Amino acid sequence: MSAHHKVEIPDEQLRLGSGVSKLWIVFLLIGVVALGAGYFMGQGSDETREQFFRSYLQNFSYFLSLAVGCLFFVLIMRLCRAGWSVSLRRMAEIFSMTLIPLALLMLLIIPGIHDLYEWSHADHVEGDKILQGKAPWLNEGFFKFRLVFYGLLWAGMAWFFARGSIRQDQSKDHKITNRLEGLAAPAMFIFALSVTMAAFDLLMSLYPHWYSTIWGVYFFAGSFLGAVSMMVLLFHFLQRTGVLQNVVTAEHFQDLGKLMFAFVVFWAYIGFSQFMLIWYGNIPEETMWYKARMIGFGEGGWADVSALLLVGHFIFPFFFLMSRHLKRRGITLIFGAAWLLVMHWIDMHWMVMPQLHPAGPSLGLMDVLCFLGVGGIFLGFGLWQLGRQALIPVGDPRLHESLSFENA
Amino acid sequence: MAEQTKLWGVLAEFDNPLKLMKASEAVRDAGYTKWDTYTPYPVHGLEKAMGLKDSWLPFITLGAGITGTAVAILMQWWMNAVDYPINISGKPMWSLPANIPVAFELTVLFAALSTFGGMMFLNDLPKFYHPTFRSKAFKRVTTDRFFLAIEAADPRFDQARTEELLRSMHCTDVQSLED
Repeated sequence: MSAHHKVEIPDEQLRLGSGVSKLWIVFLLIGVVALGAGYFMGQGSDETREQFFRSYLQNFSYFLSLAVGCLFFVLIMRLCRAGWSVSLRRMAEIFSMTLIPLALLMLLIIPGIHDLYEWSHADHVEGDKILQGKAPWLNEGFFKFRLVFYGLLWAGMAWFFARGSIRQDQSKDHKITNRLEGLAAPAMFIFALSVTMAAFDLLMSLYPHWYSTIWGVYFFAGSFLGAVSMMVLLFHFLQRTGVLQNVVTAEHFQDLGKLMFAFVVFWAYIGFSQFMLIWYGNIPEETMWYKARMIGFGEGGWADVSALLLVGHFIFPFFFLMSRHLKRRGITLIFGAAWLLVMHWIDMHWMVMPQLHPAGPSLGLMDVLCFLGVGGIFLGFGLWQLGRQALIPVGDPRLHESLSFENA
Repeated sequence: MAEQTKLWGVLAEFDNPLKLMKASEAVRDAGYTKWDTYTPYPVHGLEKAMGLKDSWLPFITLGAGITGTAVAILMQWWMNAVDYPINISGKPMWSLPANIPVAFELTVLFAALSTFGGMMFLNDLPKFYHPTFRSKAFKRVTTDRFFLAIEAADPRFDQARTEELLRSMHCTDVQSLED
């Protein structure tokens, strides 16, 4: 029986290799250069500026969702005192800390408020009863304040939970575990409320006449799915460099695969719940959002993207991830995770872009630059932090449970 | 009626799961096929030690789930569009989005009930009699003893040699059971 083995892991298995630990500089440089180039090119005309801020908002939201998903992973595992996932938690802790640079990047939305949000134009609000009614919430001053507030709140939460865990690496103090588990409960409330509000602010208020109360949950469902998929890829990448052998095993990958499967279903459930109520009610002010996404079927319009999401974000991964063998085999799970990360990006694109390109999706240089820009900074910061500590929480009292974990 | 005695198999008793695990590996490697283990709680890794193949249950669940989806959609199509067409809020008579909630529920219902039923069927349950019930010692299987039984119907079964194999695996007792 392996349940109570004492597992000894050599120290070099728990540290990033020297080659990989310098990669972060490359990513960070790519990020800064790409984002700078995008911003500079965007200043050319009104059109390019609008395109830059749209693409930026979409890609920022994409990587924000991954970071927020990692924060949720940390909180939920603390909250239910999970043993199996302890050796995976450090990765989530580190990548939730990318909320620190993301809090700064969030400020770059501020110069684009007028390009992105209709409610920020006083002349539009003036003749519009609905926008007037929403003005106490959707006004520039309060909006800027909220952006700063979300950034500080999430960066603080991520930093606090990661710092406690990292301190425990040295001190081995069990009290840290107890304290963080207790604090995970109120943190979860704050998390749920703030993510819902931020999703309303950043993405839903692009369409200020439209509303969907389930919007925050939809954003969250994609976030956690993306975060788990990203963790699968990161762990496989790290294992290829020779670390974490026998630490993260097929058992862990199978369970991450189960979470991916569960959240594929959850995403579809929430997405359909949002769609069905609006479709059934059939009120023009509600259906307009879907109408914009249901035109041009078979002609490269947004309806094609909607259909792609239905098949690629739900039906295909649903059957693919069902199999135990595909979840336990490295190469197939890597494929599933990469697939879902692409689908999640398309989902974000589908949420943000139809307003700017009503006829259909049109990808351009700006999308690439913004993806590389935010992504480079995101990955660069994450890898930099990853190189600074052990790759698993070596001081956690439940670590042995995770190391000897087996699926029943 | 004259009492007929027919050997059913041999039953070995172990006082801890580790010994049972080792014994299972030995019995598996000796090539026995008609045998089983009995424990008070699920023992991780025992299925590997016994060399059990993957269960068919997931495929029963999948089949039932797909059946549930199909039944739900056909049922709604028949009821709403064919048998008793009625216009509801101007939607088409047969409209897929409106059918999804019922399809989802029937998928889950069929899959869940079939998983339960399939589990019972694959385990030969319910069962009111089993030869191991004849053993007094076997009563402790629900508290603190671990058992391994090899059936006489097994092609490799040979009472003396099978008992010898089990004894060599440090069991606390071996007894033969009648059917």
